[in-house]
Amino acid sequence: MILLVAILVSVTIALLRGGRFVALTKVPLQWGLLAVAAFAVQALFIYQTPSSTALGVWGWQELLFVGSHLLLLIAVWVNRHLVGVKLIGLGLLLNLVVMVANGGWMPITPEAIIKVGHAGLVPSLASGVRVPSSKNIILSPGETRLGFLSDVFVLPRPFPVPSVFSIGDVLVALGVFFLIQNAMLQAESKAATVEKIR
Amino acid sequence: MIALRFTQVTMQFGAQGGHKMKKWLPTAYKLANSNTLRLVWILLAITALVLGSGAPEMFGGGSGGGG
Repeated sequence: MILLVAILVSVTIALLRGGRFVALTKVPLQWGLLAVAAFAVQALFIYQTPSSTALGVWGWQELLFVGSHLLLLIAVWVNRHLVGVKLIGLGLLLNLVVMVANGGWMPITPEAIIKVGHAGLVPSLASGVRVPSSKNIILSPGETRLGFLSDVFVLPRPFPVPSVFSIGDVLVALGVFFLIQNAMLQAESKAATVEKIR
Repeated sequence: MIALRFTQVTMQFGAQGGHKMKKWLPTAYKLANSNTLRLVWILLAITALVLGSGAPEMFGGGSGGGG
């Protein structure tokens, strides 16, 4: 949800800066279907009722889930010439590294879940429990590899959309911000340049 | 991308009679070349790329809203 907010905020700021929404149609995004397919695969795991995972054991779910991120990496590579996409790619890579290091899911500590006020949404705070509607798995700090790349930033209430996110998520949000700003404002700046030449 | 592809294909057909394709698939042609569809497609692709790349706690739903 916080990433959807990032997209909405990016579009709103671009509009306030004089950008045009329709200019997004000019974004030469390639292999977009790959990104849609990859997220569709992820959605199957995000929105299904999760169960506990045997720590460190890779099943077909984990392989498919991580594989979908590899598809996204291909989509990012193909579109790396677009402003902001490299940042999205770096964020994706950091998230992927920490997920691979922790059994295929994004680690989150029980403390972070309590701090954000979502303790009631998980069946228990024991290690290995998957968090519903997310890519997360509960792990204590001692069990988490590369903990600094996991979901460590807590945005609690009164923020309207309380959330826990990683440094990779921050980079993804920044990337989409630059992508949308550039796309929506480029048409305006081109028009201004033509006007100046005249 | 679908829209662009469609346009490219139509342009390729142009030399051999692009009007035929327009005649066969007028609705699809109009739809694929409409700005609205391109806008929806780009937004969908960007959203999928961003949501797929990120891994915040809570993608949506739940009583807490979330990340």
